[in-house]
Amino acid sequence: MIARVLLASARVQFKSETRLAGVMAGVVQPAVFMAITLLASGQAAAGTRTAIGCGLIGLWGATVWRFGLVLRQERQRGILPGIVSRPAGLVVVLVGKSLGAVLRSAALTVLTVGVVAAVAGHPVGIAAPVVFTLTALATLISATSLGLLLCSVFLLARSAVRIAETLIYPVFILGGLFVPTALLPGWAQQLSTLISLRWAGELLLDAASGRGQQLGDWLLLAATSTGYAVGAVVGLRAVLRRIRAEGTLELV
Amino acid sequence: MSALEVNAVGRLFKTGPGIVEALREVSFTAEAGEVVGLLGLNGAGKTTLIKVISTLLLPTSGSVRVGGVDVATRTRQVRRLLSVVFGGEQGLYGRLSGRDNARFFGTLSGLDHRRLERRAAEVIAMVALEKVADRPVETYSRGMKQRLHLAIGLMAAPKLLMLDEPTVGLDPIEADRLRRVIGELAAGAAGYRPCILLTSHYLRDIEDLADRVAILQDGRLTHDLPLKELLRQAGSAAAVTVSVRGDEPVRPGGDAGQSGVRLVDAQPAGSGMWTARYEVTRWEPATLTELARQWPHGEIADVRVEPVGLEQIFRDLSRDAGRLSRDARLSQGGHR
Repeated sequence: MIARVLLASARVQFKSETRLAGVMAGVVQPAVFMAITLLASGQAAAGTRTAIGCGLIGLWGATVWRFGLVLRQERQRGILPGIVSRPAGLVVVLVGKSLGAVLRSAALTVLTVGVVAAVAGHPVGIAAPVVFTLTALATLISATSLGLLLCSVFLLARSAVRIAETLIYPVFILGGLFVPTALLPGWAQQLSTLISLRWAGELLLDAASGRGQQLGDWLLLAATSTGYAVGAVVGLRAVLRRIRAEGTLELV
Repeated sequence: MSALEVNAVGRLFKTGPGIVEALREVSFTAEAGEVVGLLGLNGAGKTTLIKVISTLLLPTSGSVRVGGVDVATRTRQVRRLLSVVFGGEQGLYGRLSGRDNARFFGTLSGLDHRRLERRAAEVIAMVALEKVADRPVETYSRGMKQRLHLAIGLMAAPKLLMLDEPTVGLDPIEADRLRRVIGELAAGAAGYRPCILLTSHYLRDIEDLADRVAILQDGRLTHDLPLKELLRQAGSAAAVTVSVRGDEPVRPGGDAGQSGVRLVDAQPAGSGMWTARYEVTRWEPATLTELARQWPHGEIADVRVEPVGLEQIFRDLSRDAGRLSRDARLSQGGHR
């Protein structure tokens, strides 16, 4: 049943979105960052790292915005009671719908990064495409679990948009998406070990350049993502229980 | 085992410095095939009760069982047994078709792919939306959306169907159409007879559809009895206005007694005419004879009979309850 609900939720999200949904996070933002970086560096060697960094920037932006906005839209449309009062439950529907929204945005990001890199004369080469695809899939799952963790915050707080805005840039920096983490101060480097996108970025870069995969990076990616997922399930259950007990959330 | 058992349910809400008691010791049961009308003024606790039964809110005290399953502890099982339809234009995906909406919510209710298609077609036909089923919902009229809500509520063939203000905002024709659909459903059009809990501000809905009426006032259940019994207890079946030429009536007002006729008031209307108002406990041919007997020196020129509906009864009950609440508050204030 879970797989069917995930698929149905993603499909409904695809169908109910406007044509311009996800364009800012999936097209404009990565295109601008990529153009600036490539123009500034002018080095072919930086091309792949830039492309992966901008791709992850697009993915993280899409995750934060889409998870937050999907929840807000459902509340505004008065659909939450209809979801919460059915046996499938809110969490599975949110994952499905948010994944649907993020996938669309991620596809736009990949296309944008590829086109901008080619136009700038630094086409992105992938040395190990199978490993790269698997790593990209793991990255997507990791981003989804992080997005789900944020959902409990979005459920409790009315100001989902403000929270989303606040969360965007710290992760860009701590995840090594703007500048390599080696350039960050010591305390920030320690904090960055908790950001799964940092390890996803390293693994994607290794796959793209044909270097061997680091087991430690995979373990850290798995550990951080599992931590997000467990935190998300525990957090969402606690929030939903609190909502039922206190009646603080107006679902209707 | 009852389809619905509400047992001493209470629900408190914290509102800043104070506490609001939205439900107080509410108890009643409803059986399969029964339509229970839940009546109450705004703020009486109807929607809070619906939310508690539908697992959206936990009761502060007491318990609710749907088909014998506790709503507070076995949430997932309960959600398989019930469906709640909230009124209004919200709650649907506007860019999706009616059929897609029904499919989606059916999936959330646990229907597999093959059953989903068949059931969506059945419920859409049941609410007469076949012709527009593949159109985006944003192009639907309010009445169509309301019927779609009902169809979605029926997707999983719930044992308990809760309808919260189903005809709110509908024009009379659409409201009649929806009432007809609900009536057919209650009669077993879906192949079974669900227990239906219906809240409405429109007493016409309750009069047309309900077998029983439960009345909530200030969070308390003040009445729970069959519709016919409520009408009987209200004491009068009709209000009769009589125009008489001649002298004033001989009998004073008071209890209707065995005659079944009680004079409410009689006023001179000029030119030797009188206008008198009566409450009649039962309207029958002998009632006219009884009315004539009350005017031995007069000639009845006109008789107008208006059946007393639930609306009048509810107004009277609310007024009585309001007076009781005021008295209680004054009494509490006096003791402080």
